[in-house]
Amino acid sequence: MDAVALAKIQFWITIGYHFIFPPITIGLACFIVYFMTKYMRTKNTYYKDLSWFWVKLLATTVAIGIPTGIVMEFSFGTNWSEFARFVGGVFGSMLTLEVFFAFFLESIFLGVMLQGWRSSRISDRVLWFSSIMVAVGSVISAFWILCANSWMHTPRGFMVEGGRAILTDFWQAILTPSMFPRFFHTINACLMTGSFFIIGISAWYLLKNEHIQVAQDSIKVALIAGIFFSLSQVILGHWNSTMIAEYQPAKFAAQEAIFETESGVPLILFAILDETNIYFKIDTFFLPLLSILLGNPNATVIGLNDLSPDIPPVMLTFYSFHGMVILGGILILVSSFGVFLLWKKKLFGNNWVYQNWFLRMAVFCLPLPILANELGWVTTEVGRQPWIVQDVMRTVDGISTVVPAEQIFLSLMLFIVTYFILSIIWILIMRRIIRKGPVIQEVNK
Amino acid sequence: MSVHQGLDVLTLLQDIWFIVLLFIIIIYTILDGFDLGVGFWFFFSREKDKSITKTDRRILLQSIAPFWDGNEVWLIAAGGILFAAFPDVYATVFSAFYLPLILVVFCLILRATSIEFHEEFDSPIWHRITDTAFIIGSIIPSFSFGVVIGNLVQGLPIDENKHFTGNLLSLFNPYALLIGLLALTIIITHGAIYIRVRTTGKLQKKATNWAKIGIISFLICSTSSLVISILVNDHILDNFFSNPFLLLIPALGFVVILITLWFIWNEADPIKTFSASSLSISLSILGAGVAIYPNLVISSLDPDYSLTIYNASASDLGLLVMLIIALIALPLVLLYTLYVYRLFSGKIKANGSHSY
Repeated sequence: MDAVALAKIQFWITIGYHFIFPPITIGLACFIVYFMTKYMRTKNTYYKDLSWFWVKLLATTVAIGIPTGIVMEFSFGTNWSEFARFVGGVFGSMLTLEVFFAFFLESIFLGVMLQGWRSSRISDRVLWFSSIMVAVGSVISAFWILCANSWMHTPRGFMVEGGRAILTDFWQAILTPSMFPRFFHTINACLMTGSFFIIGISAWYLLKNEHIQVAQDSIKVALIAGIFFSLSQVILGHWNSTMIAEYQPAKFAAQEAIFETESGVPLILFAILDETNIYFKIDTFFLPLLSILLGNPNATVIGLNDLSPDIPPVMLTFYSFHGMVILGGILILVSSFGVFLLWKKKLFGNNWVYQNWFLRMAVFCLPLPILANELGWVTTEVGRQPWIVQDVMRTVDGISTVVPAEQIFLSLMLFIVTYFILSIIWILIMRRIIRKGPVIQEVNK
Repeated sequence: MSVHQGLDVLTLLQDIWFIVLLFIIIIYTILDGFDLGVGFWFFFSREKDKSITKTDRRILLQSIAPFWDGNEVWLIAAGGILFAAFPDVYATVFSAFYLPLILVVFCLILRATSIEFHEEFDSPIWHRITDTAFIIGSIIPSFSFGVVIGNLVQGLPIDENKHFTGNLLSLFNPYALLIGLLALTIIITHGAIYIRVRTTGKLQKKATNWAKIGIISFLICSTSSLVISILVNDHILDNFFSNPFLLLIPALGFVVILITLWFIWNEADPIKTFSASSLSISLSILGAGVAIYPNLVISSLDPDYSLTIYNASASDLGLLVMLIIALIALPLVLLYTLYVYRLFSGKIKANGSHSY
C-alpha cells in the first residue's frame, strides 16, 4: 500500500476515533452547568451529588478526548507536512487560537473541578464557576476547530504566493461562508449527543428500578432538551445543506445522488447506487422537493457528470449523509414519544405497558447521535475530496513526502492497537461508574 | 547570517515571535518539567513495604493531579505557534521526526490515561500497569525533547526545498542522545525539587536525595554537552562572539545552577529551591535560544538551506494578528494558571483514596 493511502487511513482512524468523545463532553458539560446552577440556587446538596455523577462520566470521557486530540494537532506536521507548510499562516493560526482561548481554559478548570470535588477544599462558588469554564472552554474550542475546518471547505481571506497561502484578511478567513452553519449544526449535534447520553443512562436506571430520583430528574431535563435539539437540527441541517449547494456543488450532488444536471429536481429518499449509476431509487416523483428546499421549485442542481472529474466518492457521501438523516429522524421520533409520555404523566411509575418500550428504545438510542456525528463528518470530509482545501490544494499534494510508507504503517498499527485498548478501558470504567450509580447524601435531602 | 537589513515590520515581528516561542518553551519546561519529573521518580518511590509505596505514589500523583493537564497544554501551544508562525519549521521538523514524535504522542496518551484512570480499579495488576505507563509516558517524552533539540542545534540534512533527506537512525546520533540525557536530567532535578515542595517527612527526605542525584547528573551532562557543543558545533558560539555581552546569560545560568545545588544540599526552603531551579531552566533555554538565533533548524548540507525565523515564517499580517491575540490571551492564561496553583498549594496529606 502506498504512503498516501496509509496516511489517509491513519487520519480517518485517528480523527474518527477522537470525534467520538468531544461531542459527549460538550453536551455533558452543558448539562452539568445546568445542574450546578440549580444547586447554587436551591443550595440543595442533592443537585451537587447529581452533578458529580455526570462529572465523573465527563472526566472519564475527557481523559481520552484530550490526548487523542493532541494526536490530531501533531498529525498535520507529521503526516500532512506539505499541507501544513502551505496553510500554516492561515489554518495554523486558528488552531493556535483554539489552544490560547479554549484548551487552556478547559484543561485547567477541569483540573479544578475534579480535584475540587474530590478534596472538598474548594468552595461551591469556585466549583460552579469551573463547571461553567469547562463548558465555555469546550464550546469555544469547537468554535475555533470548526473555523479551521470551514476554511478548508470554503477558503477565504488569503492569496497564494510562492506556494504558500498568505493571510490577507483575518476576519474573512475565520468567518467563511460555511462557518456559521457548520458551527451551529455541530454544536447542536453535541447537545443532542449529551441529551441522549443522559436519556439513555437514566432510562436504564428506570428500567432496573434503581436511583429513581436521579434518573427521573435527569431524564426530564434531557428529554425536553433532546426534542428541542433534535427538531432544531432539522433547520440547522437544512441551513448547512443549502450552504453546501451554493459553495460545494460536487459534495451536494454526491450527497443527494444527482448525476445529471436538472432543474425542478425531486428529492431522493432512498437509492441503491454505485459510483456512476443509480440502480433503484425512491424519490418524491412529481414533487421537486430538492429544488423547493433550495428555495425555488425550478432551482437547478448541477449533476456529477458535469462536475467530473473532480468529484468525491459518491456512494460513501450519499450513504453516510442519508444514514445521518435517518438517525436524526429516529431520534426525533423517540424523543417525541418520551416527551409525550412525560406530558401525559405516564413516564414514571409502573402504570402503562408502553413505558418499558420507550425506556428500552431510549437505552438503545444512546450511541445513535455518536454514530450520526461520525456519518456527518464522513459526509462533509469525503464530500470535499479530492481537495484538502476546496479548489486550492489536492489531498494527495498535502502529504508528508519525506515519511516512508513503512513508518506510517508502523504508526497506524500502534494507533489501532492503542485505541482498541483505550476503548475497552473507557467502556469498562464508564460501565463501572454507571453500575455504581450516583451517590446521594441523604442527610441534606 | 541574516539577509534582512534594517528594521522593517516583518523582521521585527519574526524576532518577536522567536522570543514568544522561547518564552512558551520556558514556561512549558518549568511547568510540565516538574510533573514529568515526578513521573520519573515514581519508579524509584518503590519501597519494600508495599503499603508505603502505595501511599507515597498516591501522594505523588495527587501532587500533580490538578496541574499536569494544564501544563501539557503549553506543549500544544508551542506546537501551535510553530505551525502558525513558522509553518516551514513545523512541517519539516514534524515530518523529519515522524516516528519519534509518534512515540511521544503515544506516551502522552499513556500518561494522560494512566494518571486519570489510576484509581479506577483497585487491583494490584491494574496499578502495576498504570504505574508503568505513567513512568514510561514521562521518561520517553522528556528524553525525546532533548533528542529533537540536539538534532536541531547540530543540524539536519535539509535540502534546498526545506525537506529532510536523512533517515530515522541518523537522528539518534551521540550528540543528540547526550542532549536527550541533558533534558532528562533537567526534568528529573526539577521534579524532585517539586516533590520537596509538596511533601513532608520521609518522602520529602527521599526527594532531597533524588534532587541531589538529579542535580549532580545534570551538572555532569551540562558540562560535557557544553564542551562537546563547543568542540563539535562551534557555530553556536557565533552570536556570543559578535556580542560578548550575551555571555552573561550562560554565565548567570551557571551561577544559578550552583545556587540551586547549594540550596538542595542545605535543604533550604523548598519553594526557594524551586524558584532557583526554574530560573536556571529559563536561563539555560534562553542561552540555547541566543546560540541558535536566527536559525530554527540548521541544515548540515548547506548553511543557506537552514530554516531561520526569516525564511520560514508566516506573512506579516499573519504574525501581527497572532501577536495581538497572544498579547490578549497569554496574560489571561497566566493569570488563571497562577490562580489555580494558589488554590491547590500546600502539602499533600496521605489520606483517602480518590476513586470515582
